[in-house]
Amino acid sequence: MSDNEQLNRRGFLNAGLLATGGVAGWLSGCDQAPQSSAPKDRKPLDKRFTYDVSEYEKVDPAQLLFSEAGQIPTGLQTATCLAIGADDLLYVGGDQVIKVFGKDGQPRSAITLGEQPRAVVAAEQGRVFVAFKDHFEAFDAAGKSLLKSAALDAKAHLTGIAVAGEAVFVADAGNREVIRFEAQGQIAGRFGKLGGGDGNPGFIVPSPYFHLLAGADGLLWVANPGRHQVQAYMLEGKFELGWGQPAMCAEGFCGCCNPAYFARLPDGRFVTSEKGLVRIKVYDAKGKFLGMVAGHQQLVKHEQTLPVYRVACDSAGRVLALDPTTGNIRIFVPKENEPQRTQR
Amino acid sequence: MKRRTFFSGLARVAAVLGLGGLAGRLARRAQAGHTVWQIDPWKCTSCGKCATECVLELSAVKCVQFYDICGYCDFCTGYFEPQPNKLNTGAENQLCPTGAINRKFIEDPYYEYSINEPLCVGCAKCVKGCTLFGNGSFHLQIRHDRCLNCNECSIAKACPVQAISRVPAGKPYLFKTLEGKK
Repeated sequence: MSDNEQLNRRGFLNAGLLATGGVAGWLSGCDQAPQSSAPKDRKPLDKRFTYDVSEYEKVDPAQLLFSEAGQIPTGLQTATCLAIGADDLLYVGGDQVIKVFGKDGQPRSAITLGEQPRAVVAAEQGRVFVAFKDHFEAFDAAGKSLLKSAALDAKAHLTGIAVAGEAVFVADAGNREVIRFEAQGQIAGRFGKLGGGDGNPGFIVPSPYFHLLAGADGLLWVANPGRHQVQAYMLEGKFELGWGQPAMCAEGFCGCCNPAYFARLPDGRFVTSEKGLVRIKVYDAKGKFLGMVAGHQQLVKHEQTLPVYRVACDSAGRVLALDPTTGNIRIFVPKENEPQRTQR
Repeated sequence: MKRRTFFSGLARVAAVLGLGGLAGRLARRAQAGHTVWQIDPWKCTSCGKCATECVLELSAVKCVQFYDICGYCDFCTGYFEPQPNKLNTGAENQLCPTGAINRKFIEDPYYEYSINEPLCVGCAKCVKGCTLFGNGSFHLQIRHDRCLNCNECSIAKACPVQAISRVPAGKPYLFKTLEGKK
């Protein structure tokens, strides 16, 4: 540096201040100094702050009307639906396929699908109807596609399918309504939407659990989970009756929205499946609680992954429950005839 | 020294110092990438430790309501005791021990639930009730108007499932969207 280029005092001070400010800014940009841990004298929360429904997970042994008689492994990674057809053939959906098993648990055939099935039902003449997210498809016994409905709107989220004669009904959890299709796959009507002006109580479907089945009594039975009811409708969509009430105890349907699924035994009794408190129960044809098929502790292996069991009943009065965590079908038989165990 | 000269010098010092500070802070953030602590709601098991492990007396963790997936249930299992006497706002029917959840009628049969954050202690009792039976719209989040953003989060250390990690400050909350589900 020459004598002529001597640093003047103002320039020196400016540079120093800028540097000081920079260092201060850098430090203030740091996170807070490390904190060790919460104060040692802090008391743990008492039981008022703990959510506990364990007392409802227990089942009175006297209420257990069924016992487990075996399991059928389906080999599905993601098992999504279950139905029983003629000759007690079992139809299990998942992994973009419908697998068919005999009542002895032996695999019979399979129908390859283009996407994940959401619900399945077996109809007369060996036909199989499969609901996907926004449409359904019908197949013959050999797995050949017979019919594909038009896709519903983008909000559609089908979770149930039933067949009564030539009419096909789907439960749309996304739009919270039941849609009736004609034999050729055209929409013939819709009902059940809250405030839909059809005089019905309206379906309350907080989560994608919205099941239905066509009964031998000529009625369409639909789960209305937000109202904690199983409801019956005429096939044209007129509300007839409903039963069920919210309760954590065994007699009622637990939580915000149940039952998730249901089926009917050959004598007309209902078998219901609940989520949250995982339990499968039996009600008579008028909705009076009779007992349990299996309780939470029997059905749940790991509390972090609570399963929701699809249920179906065969002509022998067995209850078949699809365990989505293992992909196995669990077989429950009435305790009064608790004979041979089905195993493969 | 004249008074005018003194004040103009002072202003110059402050301006240069401030400019340097700003540049330093920006440089720091640009270099490190600013992050904050947050809870992954898909990993959280509602164990209750968030309420007691925070360095703050009243935890920075609060229940938040993610309305997009709320069912607006009449019988909300995050709001009501498992077996309430009636579905009304009576204190004996409420699940939250501090009364931090508000219930508001929308239209039959729907109700809206919101969190009164100053009353919430982050115990996750309601989160567990909602997640067990419902869609899990109630979940815990670290609220950044309270969080000290410690270098080492004491709740993260105590979390049994490592649900707490650093996330970009530009996206400080993690909600239960399907995209976030592992």
